[in-house]
Amino acid sequence: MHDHDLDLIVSLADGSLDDQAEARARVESCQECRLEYEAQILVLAALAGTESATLTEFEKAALHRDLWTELRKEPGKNATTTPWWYRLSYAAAGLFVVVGLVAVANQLGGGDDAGQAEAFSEVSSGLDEASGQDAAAPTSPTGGETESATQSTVAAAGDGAPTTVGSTSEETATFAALAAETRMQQLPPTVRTAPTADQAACLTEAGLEDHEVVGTVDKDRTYLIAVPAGVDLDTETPVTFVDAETCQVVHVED
Amino acid sequence: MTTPGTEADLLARVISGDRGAFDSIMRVQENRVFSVCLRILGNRENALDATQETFLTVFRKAAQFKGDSALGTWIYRIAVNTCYDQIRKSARKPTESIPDHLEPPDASAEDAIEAAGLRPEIERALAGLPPEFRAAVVLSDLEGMSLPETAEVLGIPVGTVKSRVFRGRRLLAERLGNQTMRSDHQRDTDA
Repeated sequence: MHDHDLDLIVSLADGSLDDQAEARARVESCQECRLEYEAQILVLAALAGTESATLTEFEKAALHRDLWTELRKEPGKNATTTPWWYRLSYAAAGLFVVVGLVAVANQLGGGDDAGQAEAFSEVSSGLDEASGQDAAAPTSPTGGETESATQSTVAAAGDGAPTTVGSTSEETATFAALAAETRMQQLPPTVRTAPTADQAACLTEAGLEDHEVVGTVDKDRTYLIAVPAGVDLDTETPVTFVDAETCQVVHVED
Repeated sequence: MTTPGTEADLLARVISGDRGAFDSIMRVQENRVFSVCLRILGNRENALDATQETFLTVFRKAAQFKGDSALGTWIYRIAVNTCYDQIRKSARKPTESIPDHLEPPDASAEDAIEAAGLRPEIERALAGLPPEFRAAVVLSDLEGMSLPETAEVLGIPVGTVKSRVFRGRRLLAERLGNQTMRSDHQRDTDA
């Protein structure tokens, strides 16, 4: 059989020929062509009505979970390239520190200058806001405000509210990125791994009895990633990070 | 289906590290990629692995997409090549020795075939085709792509696609015919 005949038969079977006259004539006049055409029609009929396969919800969740796990390990530019907003947060943190140091130096060098004192006060409150502390809290002119941007201190406790530890803008950006990643995995509750007894106890200690652990992240320390128990993860889910050692909430991403 | 403008925007965002954009692309394409992989590989677990590998490659090679085809076409091409790789790898694996005593037929094997969403006799016949013919038949006759679209995904001329589809269908017809004859014979014997 010639290639031309093959083309005609495939196209005739597909119904993709505008002018079928030549193909029909060929099929009718050539026994081999007719048998081939019938075989093609037989297969198309057998395949007709077959719908596309779809992923089950479970498979979809597993696919997303495994894929993001792999992407997190990527050494390449895409997975670990620091996004622009993330780099910006580094720059902002650096700028705060430099401005703070300049303000401290000015304060120590000429404390009687009212203008300098005013500038120092502004920088202090800016740093306090960045570190999540009360701007009205007393500040030390000896560099304490600079430390407040890099040290973690307990900011709120009691009344059954989760204990939250202040964090720097850099840490805040890191947790925000991790929270976004966690939400993107969109795991339904059915596919989550049950938290260990230690993790559950840690959440209770942190005042998060109504939360569950969906994962952990190792940075300088290990943090538990907690979400409200029994909810499907989506872009609105609040994600909370708890220090696995101290059981203190280090970041809440609403 | 995303429009070309949206596709370009999404890819630009993926290249700049926006994981949300990548997630959007994945959600649009994941079912069809999985379907193509499932029909080529004939097994949900392998198809899931191939789907994951496909999207990892899409993420890694996003910057190499030149936009001279639709984003979907490019992604399906990666999916088909990933399936070919998986078939090659499994062909290289040493076959296990046959046990001294054969286990009775496993009913779950039949379930697994049906889990691919095709009638078992079609699934068996499809699995017996050479991978190149199988991919052409899957894209053209099961996924409903036109011959030019299939050619673009497979990266071969339309004439070659026609030839592969033709020969693939012919082999399927032979196998389906044989299976039909076998099951008719079985029915006669049982009666």
